[in-house]
Amino acid sequence: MENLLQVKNLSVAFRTDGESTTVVSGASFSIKQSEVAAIVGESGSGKSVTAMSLLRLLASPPAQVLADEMTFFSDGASVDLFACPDQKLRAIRGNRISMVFQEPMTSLNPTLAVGRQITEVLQLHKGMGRRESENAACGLLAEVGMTEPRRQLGAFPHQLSGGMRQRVMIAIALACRPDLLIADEPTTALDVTIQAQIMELLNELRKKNKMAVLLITHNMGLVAEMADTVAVMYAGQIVESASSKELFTNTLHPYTKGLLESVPNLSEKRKNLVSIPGTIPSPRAWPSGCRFHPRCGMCQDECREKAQELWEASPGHFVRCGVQKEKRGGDIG
Amino acid sequence: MRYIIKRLLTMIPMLLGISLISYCLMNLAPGDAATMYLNPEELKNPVSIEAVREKLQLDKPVMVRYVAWLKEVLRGNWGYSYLSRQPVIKEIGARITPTIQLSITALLLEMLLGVGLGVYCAKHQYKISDHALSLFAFVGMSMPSFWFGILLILFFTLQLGWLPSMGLVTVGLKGSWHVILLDRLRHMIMPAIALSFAGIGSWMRYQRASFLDVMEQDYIRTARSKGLKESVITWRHTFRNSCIPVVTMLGGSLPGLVSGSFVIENMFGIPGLGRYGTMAVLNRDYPVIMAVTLFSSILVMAGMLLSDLLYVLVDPRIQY
Repeated sequence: MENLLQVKNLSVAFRTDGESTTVVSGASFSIKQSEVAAIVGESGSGKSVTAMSLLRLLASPPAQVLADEMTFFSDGASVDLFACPDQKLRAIRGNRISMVFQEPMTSLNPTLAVGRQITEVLQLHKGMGRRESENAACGLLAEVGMTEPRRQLGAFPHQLSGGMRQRVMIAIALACRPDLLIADEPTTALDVTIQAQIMELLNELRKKNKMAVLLITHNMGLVAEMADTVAVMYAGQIVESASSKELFTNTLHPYTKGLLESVPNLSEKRKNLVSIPGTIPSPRAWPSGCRFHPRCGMCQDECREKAQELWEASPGHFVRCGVQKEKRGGDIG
Repeated sequence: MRYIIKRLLTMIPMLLGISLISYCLMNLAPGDAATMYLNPEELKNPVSIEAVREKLQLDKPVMVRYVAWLKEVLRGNWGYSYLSRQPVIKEIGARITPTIQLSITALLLEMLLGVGLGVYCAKHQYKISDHALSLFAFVGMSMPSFWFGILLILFFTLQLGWLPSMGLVTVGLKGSWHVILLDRLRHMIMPAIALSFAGIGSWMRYQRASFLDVMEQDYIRTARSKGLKESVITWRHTFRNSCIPVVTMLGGSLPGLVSGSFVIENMFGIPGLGRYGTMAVLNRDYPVIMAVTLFSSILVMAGMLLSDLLYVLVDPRIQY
């Protein structure tokens, strides 16, 4: 299938008080048309920042984004999201690429009726008139499962529950039938029962609209359920990326293994929950060598000194771990 | 509607409290109303002073006089001015319009300039223009209005001769309605600026802070992710939300405007409530002092009620 988005060597740094802190370093990934790509990682791993930087939503200053390439393919043409002028980017935002954010409570404007927040996108990108856009918005609200769409057009965000607000956010994001939806932890702030509903809705709408999804999450279960490809981020770097099936059956990076082991499992009887020891380091002081080495069970002398490079363990499966490379190298060679 | 009635009803005990406190304070002030009541000729005769005391009931205890005054006021009789011997209510009626005119002009100046410049500063945060306007705001807030008024008169009347420094209208001016209107506006410019200068500064600082705060909100990021133009984000999404905390300032700035007009009206010779009140205080004209105090209080309360109602328009989350 065709590439929809190709990102090469994306780095993000934040400059505060004359001091520059690199939060994402050298991330490369691509998303194909109508597939679900997931970026997984703990809080602070840089996954949200990566998502924001795709639509240049990080305030600059303090953010400084660098990339060799951030090419978006739409309607037979390609646009470099990193280098294109603002005007061109605005025509893509909300139209060809849209976003659903983590906090439905604060992501909607409290002083505008939700209907207006949907119609403004339709009027802007589709050139619809008032009446036409209102009807379309009503249809969108019905599509995302709102029970009384006509009446709810006039509702204000504070009159809706968290789950309903996230449905409205999805309706806004879907309004122009985008090619790519970036979902930045869309269910983290919701109740568990609502989480499943929202993910089901997203999945259903994705299939119906043949839309690609970039799913940012820390929930491995969700990834296993939905994603076609996975990139695992740790301390601002992609440490392992592969197709979802390959990653789950043939996990190579010790961090990914740790993440998978820490998912609670009902079928196994374990006394305690398993967790990866330690916490993610601060961006101000990434560890030398392999950034995961202080928490790694497989750590060796070399890991402490030498920065690790991504290498291709099998076609399409990339890992940033030298120990695994040696092991594998021994196997093959 | 029920809310408005409730608010109007709570004004009654407030006005009673205000009247009681000001009646007592007024009587604590040194000076003798009876001696002010008489002309210098009559003052030489102690008998006539006593007669006046009795006539004005100044020989009775304060509480008795207060109750008597209150009874009369509730019947609609505000009494007669000691100084002019005219009915107080008639004199107030003639003087309340200039004061309302001046206060509203000053309030509009504060709101429009304060809010507008505040948004401008927020959009140009840390640029030279922002720093310059902030300096201007702090100068405005820390300069006493009477001194600023004198500076205005010195410059625009004495140096440049552009604006009149006294009164409401040019005496004897005749012409069509727009000539009269223009003349009135020219008289209003300097007093209104002197009265609102401090307010403009604080409105500006509030609006700036509030706008900057809203710019950081998640829903502004959402608006940006929709592909909206910066101008739409500023006015449709940021501006209205940034006005919510600023509307509270409206109620708070009214007492300042009304009390400020006492100073400004004297300085610019405007025949309003403030000047009338000041004269009354200097002359121990008790009925007038009480009436001016209560009418100013009503002005302030009405304004506060209005600003609370304005809240509903700005913030859909608030309902009464």
